[in-house]
Amino acid sequence: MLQTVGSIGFGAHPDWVSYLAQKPDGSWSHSTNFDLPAHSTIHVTISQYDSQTGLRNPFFGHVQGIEGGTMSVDGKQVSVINPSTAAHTFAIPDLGVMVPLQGIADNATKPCSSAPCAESYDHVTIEFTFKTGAPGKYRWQCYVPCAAGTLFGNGGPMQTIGYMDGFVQVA
Amino acid sequence: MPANPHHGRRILAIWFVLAAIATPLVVLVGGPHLPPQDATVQAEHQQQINTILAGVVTPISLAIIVYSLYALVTWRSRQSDAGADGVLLRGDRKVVTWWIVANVIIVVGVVAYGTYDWIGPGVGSGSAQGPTPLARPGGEKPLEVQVIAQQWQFTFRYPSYGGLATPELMIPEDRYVEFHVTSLDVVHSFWAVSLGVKADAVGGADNVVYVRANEPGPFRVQCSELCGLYHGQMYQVTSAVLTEADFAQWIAKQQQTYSDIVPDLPPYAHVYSPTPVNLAG
Repeated sequence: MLQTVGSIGFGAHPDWVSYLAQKPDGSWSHSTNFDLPAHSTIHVTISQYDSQTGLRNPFFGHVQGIEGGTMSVDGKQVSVINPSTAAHTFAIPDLGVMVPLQGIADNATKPCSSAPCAESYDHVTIEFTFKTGAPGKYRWQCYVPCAAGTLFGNGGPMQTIGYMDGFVQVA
Repeated sequence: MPANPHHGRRILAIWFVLAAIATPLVVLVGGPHLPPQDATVQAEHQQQINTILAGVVTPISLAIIVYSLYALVTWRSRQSDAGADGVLLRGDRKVVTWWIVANVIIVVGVVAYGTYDWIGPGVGSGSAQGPTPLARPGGEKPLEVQVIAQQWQFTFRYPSYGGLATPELMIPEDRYVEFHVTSLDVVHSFWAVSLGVKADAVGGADNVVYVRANEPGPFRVQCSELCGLYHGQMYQVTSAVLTEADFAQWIAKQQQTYSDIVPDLPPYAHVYSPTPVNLAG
């Protein structure tokens, strides 16, 4: 279970966009390094609280590398989203996984301003399943230029492990 | 040992013997192992140039090594020379003239050969030539493939197949491919190592390179321009040269897989605006 937020709200860069991961006890951890079992099927749920930015490369609006070729967006099975509505992506290039995450509407009435965000705030729920494959350390990242105020939107949190990218340790 | 031996002749003789042995060895034995081998017509030409350069450099390197070792042995400081300085060499017109003439011949020769090999054979170039290449392959119309770089992945478009976009790079054997390389953000570099293809990917710019693959097989693509956090992991996993039949089959499969994103893709163009659709924040 992951969530994406427009601003983390604490730490060294409280205004940076970020991912968070939910621990087994239900609390949220500001970490982007995950341990996963090899050759296993992983079901991921992402609560996406950020607004729409749009993909620089519209091709990434199509899901890739996930089981069944579709993801669930608020309960609806889709293989593609409008690229201009994407807030982020969850991508593991070496495993061929690319999942675009739809942003909340521009006219959302109850946006979340800092993490961790409760379910009561406006969000989009994305669910998908992928297979981990062979053991290894795989990087993952967001492909939406969502780092406001940085070069091409790809600086700051986009180039800092712990925010919009990290590693998946498959063992 | 004569009091004033002909050092120059000795050095020349030693150098000549060593160069006569080493140069053919480097060219004939080492040459076939030099990169980028012979997977494509362009790679063959690059390997040929690398072999010729190695053949030119070998006697030059030997000249430096032989002279240095000869000087170390023959003109080393001895106890009897304590405090004495060497002979001051200045203004030897003969040596300077030979040095300049030899350098001019080597440099002009290499430039002339490189220029001829670039344009003369009409096979295009695996090195980037900007949007209007001078060296183009003759004959058949090449297959156009666009390489789009961004932090940190390459994607590809095939305009002759409805602007198909795909994360994989497949090209047919025995057919010229015209890569159009561009970027959506910072400067990257598209390097298909064994194909002998390399081109900078620059936002707002179209960089053209050509290749013609000799036989089917996988090849590796990687970014060769430091481009940020994950530059070292910016490589294309699925890339290969396919037979014409396999290529047609692959194209059909890609068109089927990614058909529902086609309406959302921008019309095919050689460059795209790097500005995101909406600004972050």
